Amino acid sequence: MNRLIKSIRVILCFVFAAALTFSAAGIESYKKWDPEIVKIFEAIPVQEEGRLKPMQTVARYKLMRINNSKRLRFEVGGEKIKVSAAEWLMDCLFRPELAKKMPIFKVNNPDVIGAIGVKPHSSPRERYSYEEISSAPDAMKRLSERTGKLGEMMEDSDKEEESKAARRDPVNVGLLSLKSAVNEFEWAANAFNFARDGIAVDLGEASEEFKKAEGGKSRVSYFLSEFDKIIEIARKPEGQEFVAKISAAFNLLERDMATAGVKDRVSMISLAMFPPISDDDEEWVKPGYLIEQLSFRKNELSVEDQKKFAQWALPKIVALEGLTRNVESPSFVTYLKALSDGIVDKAKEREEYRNIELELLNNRLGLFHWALPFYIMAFILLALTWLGPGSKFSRGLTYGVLGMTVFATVALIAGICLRSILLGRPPISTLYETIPFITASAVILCLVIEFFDRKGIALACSVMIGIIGLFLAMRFEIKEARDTLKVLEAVLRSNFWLGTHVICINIGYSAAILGGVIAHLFIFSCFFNVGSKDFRKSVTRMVYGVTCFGLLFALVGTVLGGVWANDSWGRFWGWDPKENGALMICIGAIILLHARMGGYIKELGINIMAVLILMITVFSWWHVNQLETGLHSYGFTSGIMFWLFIVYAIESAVMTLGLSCCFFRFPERKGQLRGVRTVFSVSFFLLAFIFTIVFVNLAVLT
Amino acid sequence: MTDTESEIHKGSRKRKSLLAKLYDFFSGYLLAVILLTLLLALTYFGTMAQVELGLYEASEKYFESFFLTEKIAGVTVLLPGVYLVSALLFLNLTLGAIVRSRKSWRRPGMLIAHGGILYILLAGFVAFHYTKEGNMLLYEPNGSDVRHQSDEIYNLTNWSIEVAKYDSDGKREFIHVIGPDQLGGAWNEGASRNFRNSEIPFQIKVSGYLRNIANGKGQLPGLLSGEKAGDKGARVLEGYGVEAVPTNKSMEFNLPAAYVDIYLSVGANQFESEPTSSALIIGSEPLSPRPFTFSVEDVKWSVDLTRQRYTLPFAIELENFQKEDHPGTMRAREYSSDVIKIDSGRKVHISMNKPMRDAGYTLYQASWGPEGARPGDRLYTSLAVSYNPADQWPKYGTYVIAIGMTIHFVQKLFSYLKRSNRSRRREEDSE
Amino acid sequence: MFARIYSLSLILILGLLGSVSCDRAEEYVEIKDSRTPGRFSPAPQLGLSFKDRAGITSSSNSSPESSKVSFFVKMIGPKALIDGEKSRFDVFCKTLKVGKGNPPFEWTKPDEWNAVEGTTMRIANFNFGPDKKGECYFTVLPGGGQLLANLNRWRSQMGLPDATPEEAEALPSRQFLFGDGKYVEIEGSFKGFGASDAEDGYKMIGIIMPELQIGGLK
Repeated sequence: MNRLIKSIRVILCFVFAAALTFSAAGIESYKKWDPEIVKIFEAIPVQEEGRLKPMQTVARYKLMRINNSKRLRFEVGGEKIKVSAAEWLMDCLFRPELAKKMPIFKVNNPDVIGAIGVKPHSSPRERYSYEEISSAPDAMKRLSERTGKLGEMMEDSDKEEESKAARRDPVNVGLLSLKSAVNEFEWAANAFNFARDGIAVDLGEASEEFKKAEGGKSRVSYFLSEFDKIIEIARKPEGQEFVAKISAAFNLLERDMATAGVKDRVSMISLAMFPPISDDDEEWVKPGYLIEQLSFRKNELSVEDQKKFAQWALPKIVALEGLTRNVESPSFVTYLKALSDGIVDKAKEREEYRNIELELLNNRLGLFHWALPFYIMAFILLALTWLGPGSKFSRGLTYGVLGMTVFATVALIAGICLRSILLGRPPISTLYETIPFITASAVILCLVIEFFDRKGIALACSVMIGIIGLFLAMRFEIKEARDTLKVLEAVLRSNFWLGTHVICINIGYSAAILGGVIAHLFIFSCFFNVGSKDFRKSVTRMVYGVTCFGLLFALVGTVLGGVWANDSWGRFWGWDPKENGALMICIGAIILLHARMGGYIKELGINIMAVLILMITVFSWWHVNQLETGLHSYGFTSGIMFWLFIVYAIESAVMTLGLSCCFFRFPERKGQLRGVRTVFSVSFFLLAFIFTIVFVNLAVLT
Repeated sequence: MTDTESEIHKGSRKRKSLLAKLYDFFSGYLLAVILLTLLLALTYFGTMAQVELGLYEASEKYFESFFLTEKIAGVTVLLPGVYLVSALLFLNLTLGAIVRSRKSWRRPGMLIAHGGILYILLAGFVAFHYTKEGNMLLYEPNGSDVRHQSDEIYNLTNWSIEVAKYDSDGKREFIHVIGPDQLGGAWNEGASRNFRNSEIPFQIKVSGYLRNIANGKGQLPGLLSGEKAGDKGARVLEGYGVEAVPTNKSMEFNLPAAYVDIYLSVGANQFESEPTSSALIIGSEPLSPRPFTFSVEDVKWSVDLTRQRYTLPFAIELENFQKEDHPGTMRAREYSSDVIKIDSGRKVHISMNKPMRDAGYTLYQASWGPEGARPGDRLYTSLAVSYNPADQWPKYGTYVIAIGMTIHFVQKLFSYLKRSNRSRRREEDSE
Repeated sequence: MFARIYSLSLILILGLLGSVSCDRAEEYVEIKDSRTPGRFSPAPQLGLSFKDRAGITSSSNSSPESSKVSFFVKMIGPKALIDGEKSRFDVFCKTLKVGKGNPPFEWTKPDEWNAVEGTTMRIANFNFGPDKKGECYFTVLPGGGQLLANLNRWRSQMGLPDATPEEAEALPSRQFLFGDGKYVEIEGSFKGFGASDAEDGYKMIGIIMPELQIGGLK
């Protein structure tokens, strides 16, 4: 019953999420980009976080960090416009004035936006545009100051207590995320300023040698190509006035360099979009680097090399200038194509381009997102079969359910495989990747059980798990909002262990969770008195079998993890929180088996223990990463403690329900240990009840 | 335990049934369930305690102890530590799963699996008591010093006091070691320990041993000038005294301190009643040792509070250290060291996941430094070294467990399928 | 039968284990362990007083050889440029002081100077002037050596012969940081670190603050 309500709520949320936000139009008109142009742009390769990826991926995650979605919706004069991430990025890069007017910043808490002096919208769902914030007096300054102070506090280890308290203040949290979103936007909007605007120095003033610049501004490419001559003039005593102008120009150039990105700086700033001049070099180059090397750091190269470098670098700057200054004209596509071809051809030569096309395909397919609607449809059909159980109609529908589920699962598996291929390593290496894998393996396990059992119970479970798992994946992706295809830390770069230990343990996790999920059916059947004794017997058998299966994988996976650790850094077992979590799951399952063998628990006990194992698994999977300690702490997520407590509370409540069945469902207890059993049952019941209250309280307090 | 032993010796009449009852209990499911539940609870409490205490101290308290006290819902409860629980579990497993279980060739799975678990528990015991581990820091060779060669490792978490005797050239002849086990345990107010050895012509009294006087930032808030120390009631020597500082979560940042008094020997197991020299010693760094020194009959001796060190049976030299970053980031993609075994000239390449093994020691590429090094700075490689007789046992134990469990569950699955097939056929027949 | 003997012996073993860990109050403890000294470990410094033994204990990554540090501020560039920037140099030196943060120094950046990212050597780092030919930076060198050694290091960078100890002592004093430093002003041909050619007409101005003992005491 609860599952049904849960699922309906999920669907409703989904529909609701689709109708996300419309906000006040600050834009008079919006001309959409030609889809052909967008396609070319999307396919341009960029190197980010050590990996070559298509512009489309970069755009998507950038937008997600600001807007929590891969798409942008806004209204222009009553007309609803939908824009993809790549189109938005193009607006930022090539039409920044327009981009600044687009409502993209999501601020849920009106106190946050009020704290910097911007008038809050009537509905918190209406997004804010950059112009709104920057036009409010001192708003940007206030934002920088407050977040700067917070940043300093967080760095200072003396102020640990204060900074923890400060981080819990929702206004501070909101300000920090707003500031980072604003930063992201700013670099995108300013990235090509140098190409578009040029430098405000009319070089013609200094000497007749220099041509008159356009509108009093020199192009950066011209400035850089005449750099030596300019310095000469500045050195001469007559050039004193010129020097001041040049200094100003240099400052501007430096600032543009910074926004256009420089080599060797750890940065999410700007696009490393040019393949390096040397084929041996792995690091791709940002436009700012070109500027830097053609000006301030010129003398680091010999004269010969300087000429070669200028020959290679200047045309790129010229290309960007051509591109950014011809946005409205029909020659834009020519410029874009020329630039893109140059980059793509070089990438192909360096044999780095193969994965780009694959990734574009992966992005387009969005396999994980496709699987979800199919699971939902399967669920709807399943719900219909409950209307008339046993009839021919429902039996036909069941085949439909099976078909949808299988199709969705195949899509899910294909998505996982595609990711593996893209990165050339086994499927799980980040916390995000555990979610689709665990979902897929739990669903497959259910289908296998269904194949042997054919009672429809496992099939129903598979659909539920599919829906919940994929929904969780979607939400987590947004929360993380970083490219989920990451390159690995040095210590993880071992395909063998990644393939064995990690996969083993995740299969163990999925079986443990599955066992708990199926056990819910028993408990509800018991408590609400629905379903036959046979039904409950089947369920218990399933739970027992799944737990055994899970124990095998969890135990082997845990010990394999220790063997890996031992081979890598000489410590088999370090009592690391994640290791402890996995150990706890194994112990829980072993207790279940031995208690049953010793006759201390029967059917009801098995199912209740399975729910406990589910809680332990959730703890091990998610909670330990929140403890911020230990080796496995590269899976940090903030802000999920609330949901964890909710899950614990729900499961404790389920256990309480189950234990209450002890009293009024099975009053006919035989045996001389009756007194002891009652004591235990009562105490466990009270314990479970108390824990439910405790977790609800903790959730409310977070 | 002692009670039951005396019970056994009490009356011969009761011996048989009591022993039988004990045997039943220690090999039974009930004990297994109790022990496992305790283990589960302890693992949970230990994990949560790590947030406050740090990994090392939480492990000490929960996982390496016999007993501990824990506050649950405001009530202080005495619990057995994981060490004790594991020992009992070992007993219970042996008796219950091996000795007492139904042995049959048809169902060997669980027997094998339990054997594997026993093997791993044994490996844990051996590793805990007999492991020697430490770190070796080797700088890139630059021709001016020998910091690229070493044959010593020093432990990052344990401290010992080394008593060294010097020869006439001022070099160390021999080192006696007061190890962490002898320095460990609780040092109550005013407690002291006397250390002797027949080859040492004096007795060393160590008093006021403090586990930590440093904070995490390289400062020593526990080191006080004479006045302040006197005010706080600490002993003052050479104008300084020490007081305890809460230990850091990361053990490497802790710096211990102690007072030592030297009592000269005047005969067999007889020592002077007044110390000839006394000093305050604080933990020193292995790369710049500055011990407390004194002379006894023209022979120089030193007492050094240092990180626990082991001398390896071989020496290593770093030839070259390579580091590769992920392009465009500052995260290391891969780093490795080319080392030579000095005495034999054997060259080994040590990298992540590919350690060097020699003479029972394993050398792993652990990390590198210094932090924040710019291109061109002299780097060092940090190798984690460990000597563990039970090194490969868990691996073999895993295989054994996996095989045993797979056999068992496959057999169970088949019998289940046979039964359900039979029952389904019976259903179909009866329809 | 066998089983019972086995179990009894196991119980006894466990009992022994328990007793082994018990703390027996002894009059003395026998030192049992020993080791041979390593062949490559640095020789310990003998005969030190407690103050010398204590020293600074930095984080585990660095290994300071001595607890003495020296401070330098140095400005270098073409002669005319440097002469023009003298007043700004003074302003900078005056505003440089010990403060919060890591490393623990605070200063005010003079106008028209560009702040450059610090390195492990240069805590405060600026450049200025056309072509950024003028540089000024503040350095803290652990175990930094004596006044004479550093002065001559600078002089050789400027292509000048070494100074004598008397000349070094005769240098004017200037208040700097928390004490007095020696003010150096020299002209010559500058050949910086890693440069292939020397540049003529250069000037170097700096202040050397000699070694200071630093300890972590209250």
